[in-house]
Amino acid sequence: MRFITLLIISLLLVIVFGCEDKTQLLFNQPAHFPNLLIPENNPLTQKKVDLGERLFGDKNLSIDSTIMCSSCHKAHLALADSLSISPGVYGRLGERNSPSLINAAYAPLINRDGGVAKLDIQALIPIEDHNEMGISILKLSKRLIQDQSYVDAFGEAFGRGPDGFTIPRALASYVRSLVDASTPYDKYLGGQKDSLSPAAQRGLHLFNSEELACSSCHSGPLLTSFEFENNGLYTDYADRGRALISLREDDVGKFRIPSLRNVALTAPYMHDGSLATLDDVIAHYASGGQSHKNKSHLLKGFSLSADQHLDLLAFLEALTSERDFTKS
Amino acid sequence: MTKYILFLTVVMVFFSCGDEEVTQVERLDFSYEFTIDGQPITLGETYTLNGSTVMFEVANYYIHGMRLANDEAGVIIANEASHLLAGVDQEASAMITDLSPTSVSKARIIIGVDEKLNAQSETDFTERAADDPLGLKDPAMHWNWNSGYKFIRFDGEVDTDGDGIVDTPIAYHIGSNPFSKTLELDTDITLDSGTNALNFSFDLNQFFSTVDFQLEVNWDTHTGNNLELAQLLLANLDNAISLSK
Repeated sequence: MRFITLLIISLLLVIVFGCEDKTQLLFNQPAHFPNLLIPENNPLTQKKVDLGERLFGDKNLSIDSTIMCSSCHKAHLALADSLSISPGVYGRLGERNSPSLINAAYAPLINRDGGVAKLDIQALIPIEDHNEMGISILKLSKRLIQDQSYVDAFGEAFGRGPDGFTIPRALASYVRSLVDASTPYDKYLGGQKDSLSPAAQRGLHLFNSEELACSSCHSGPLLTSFEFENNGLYTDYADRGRALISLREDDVGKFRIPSLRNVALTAPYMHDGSLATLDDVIAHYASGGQSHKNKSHLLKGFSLSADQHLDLLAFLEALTSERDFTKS
Repeated sequence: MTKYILFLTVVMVFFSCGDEEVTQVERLDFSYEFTIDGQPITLGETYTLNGSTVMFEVANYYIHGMRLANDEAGVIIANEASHLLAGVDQEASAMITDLSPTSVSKARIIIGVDEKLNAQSETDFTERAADDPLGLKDPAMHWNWNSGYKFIRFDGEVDTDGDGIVDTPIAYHIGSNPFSKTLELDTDITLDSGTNALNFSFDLNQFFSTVDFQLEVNWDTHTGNNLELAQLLLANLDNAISLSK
């Protein structure tokens, strides 16, 4: 009798939990990248990545079913956008430029102001933001439950349906799959010195030079220190940046230093997309930026010859991934 | 005779509790109201506040760190870890107690969410059950863009052109750890045996006493974007909340 009871319980457990794919995705982390931390309550699996990718391209994630994540994070632009401010539902505009999601999983704090503590809840921002997708996560959960194919896919990935826990974690899993080190610069770091053109190598030298000091902030293999700095873009900031979170006046105008990977694909630039081209960006830093009490002390201005300007551009263009993100 | 007394004693020991007479304060039920000119408001209805026609669609705030005390016994109930979500449309929250009937002359509450829980670094709002006051709510009390909770949330609309139609959105979302506020309330409550119904009343006249709804600068604060207004409203909390039976 006891054996039969145990058998029945075991069968029930298999029925209830057997559908969840708990297989860990074998993560192919670039050797020169820092260790990517995966949360214990959201192990990375292929089924979650696939589900996240499907959600990423689904307009039903917006209140009026017009906007999907990929509307503002376009695969051919390294998952950024070519507009200063991407329109959201009903044509509404927010305040910030859409950032690239390549290697975004490494950020210790999420968002340009670092307001979000972890990637696993980041997707709530665009989904719920009035100016972006404009739907509460609870309403979205109810919407997705109406689609049996989603119910099945969530069941296989998480062992439960679409809800406020699983939807952002599926999207976070997809973002974690967007780790990339396929640039000519990575090959150069790996020892293939000829992967950078002579011009790009001269540009790298300028990039690391004390005078330009680019690598003071855009440091390490991810080309960002993930710190928050005021780069002298304005004398008066409409968007207070990090200060919105910290409530500190000495954080006004500070934004997270972005990675420069794929920077040639992610124009326009700055937190508000106010600089149209890399030429504009170089000109901004060469000028030393606007005066502001919080401006980074590293911004002192510099001068480049026309050739040096082209060399620096050549290096920045060598930060473009060779991986085609339009293909899964 | 001795045997008879012994028998009666044993019977009393075994059956004395059998009639289940309630002698202890077993439960406190908390309900919430928001008032204008002393009258409870209804969401979606228009009212005159500071000379402006206003309408509220959301009126919520978090309470935790509750201590109830009287002069004789000091703190009689300390339920500091629990969070209550107070709101017009929120169901009354219950607190289980086990103390003799007594009085409450002082109440200490903290408006906001415990700092550790507000960080979302361990358990976040998406991991909590639907009936958890700190779980996901609609309208949301979590702040998706800064990870914490809105300690106080008022949303609505105001008439700014005098046509009697409320069509300018107003939003007062106050949060972040420095905006947690401890309130010491004077009360005159007698807790009887059994269940006691207590009511938190939020005086909107007091809370918005320094707000001119006709000025654009007063139409919204999400705390960090309009610190001055958030600080003014926080200061107005001092006499805005009362607890009664």
